[in-house]
Amino acid sequence: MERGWRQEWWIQVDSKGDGFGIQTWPEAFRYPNPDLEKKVKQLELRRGGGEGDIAHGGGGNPSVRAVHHLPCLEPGSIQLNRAALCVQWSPKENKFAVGSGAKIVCICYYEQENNWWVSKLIRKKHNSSVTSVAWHPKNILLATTSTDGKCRVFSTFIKGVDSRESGSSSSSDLKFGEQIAQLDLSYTWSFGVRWSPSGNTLAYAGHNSMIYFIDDVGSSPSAQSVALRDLPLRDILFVSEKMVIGVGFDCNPIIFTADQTGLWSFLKFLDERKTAPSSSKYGSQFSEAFGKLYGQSKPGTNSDTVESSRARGGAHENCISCIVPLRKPGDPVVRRFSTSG
Amino acid sequence: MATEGFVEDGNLEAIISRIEQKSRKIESLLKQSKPVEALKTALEGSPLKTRDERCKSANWIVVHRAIMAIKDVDAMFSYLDPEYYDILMKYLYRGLATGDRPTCDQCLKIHEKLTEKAGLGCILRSLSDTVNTV
Repeated sequence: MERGWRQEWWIQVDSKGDGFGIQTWPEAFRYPNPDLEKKVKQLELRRGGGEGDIAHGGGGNPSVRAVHHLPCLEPGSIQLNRAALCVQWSPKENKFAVGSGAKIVCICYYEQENNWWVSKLIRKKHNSSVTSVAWHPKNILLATTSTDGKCRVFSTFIKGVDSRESGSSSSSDLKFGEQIAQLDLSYTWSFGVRWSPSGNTLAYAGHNSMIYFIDDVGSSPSAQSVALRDLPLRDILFVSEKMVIGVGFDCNPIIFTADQTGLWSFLKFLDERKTAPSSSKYGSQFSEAFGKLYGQSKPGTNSDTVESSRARGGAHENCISCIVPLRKPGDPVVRRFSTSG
Repeated sequence: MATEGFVEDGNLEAIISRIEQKSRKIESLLKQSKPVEALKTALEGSPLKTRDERCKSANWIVVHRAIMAIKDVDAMFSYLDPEYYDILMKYLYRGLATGDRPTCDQCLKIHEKLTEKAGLGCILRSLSDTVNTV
């Protein structure tokens, strides 16, 4: 699949959702992604993961164009001098967070008195670009990853928007922008932070081909790191408390599962592809790049070489940069998800 | 770059004496013809946490000795545990950086097998590791 297309998948999880006896198959049809075709970096404003109401916005531009989809946003309420890189609705859909290359996270919310959406900033906490943001299901805590390698958790309590009882007693006492935890596991860029459905486990990926799972971030964090055999991940999706799908530079979603004792490990690649005879033993973007270089050095056989190295039969042929669940509102189980790259 | 976690100059002597100790242990293991044990010993002391070039090259000489003593690469991997893979990869790149012919030959030979075994993820981790200065 070429860059700029979105792949839909079905996933069958048994009733307990523990990830065993799963079956997945790629959807027969694929969607062109008009925004990406225009070579605009994709930003998605996800309304609680509902299927029908994914709004697309543009990034790569100093102001967040996505917010123009919202009525009555205060003009210039998000003023960034770098691109917005990620955006996410809070679970209650009364706030959304925008992470940016300006080392700032904007928390936007609706102000009743003025009939405006306004933003509050978390600044001077990140030392580099914010690559992903994720909301805790209780609507107060926000986890971020950034290219300084850290994963951080903040309180986003806003008076008048969040009520005291909406969070657990400990999290609602915190002021807006207060840092609750800083996880320093990766020595390189970190990406794709996500909370598990219950909010007990946090997972994020490091660019050093590692994935980290952290339990009980607030009180007594305990971390696990799983080293990948192949290329690093870019985004993560929790299917259940015990099962995670990671996507990234291997162009092929990877399933991780936790056993009874909570120990996470690699299960398998999702996309069972036929191995083309000409594909190298690593079967990755890396070898494809080699194939291209090799093709360039021999002008006569150029197109043949590239074509044969690409014929790998997988859904994606480039880095997968995004994975989102597709589910009906109120359905707690993830049965379908979509990947794009 | 953060400097916390890296030892002060006063501890350099301690590091040097630790490297000497390691060197003696490796020599005795090599005499007993246990090259894999020697390599493990060499890789174990590697969280050096120093930027001092003198320490780093003293340590490299010891590790180099152990790497060059490996004759049968396949046999080595059947005894070497996966936790050593990332740091071994890092030393292999240091070896390749020397440009010395026999060292590069040996490092490339091990590199091929190690990549087959530990995958590209191992290379990425060895490149992005900023704690173990080799």
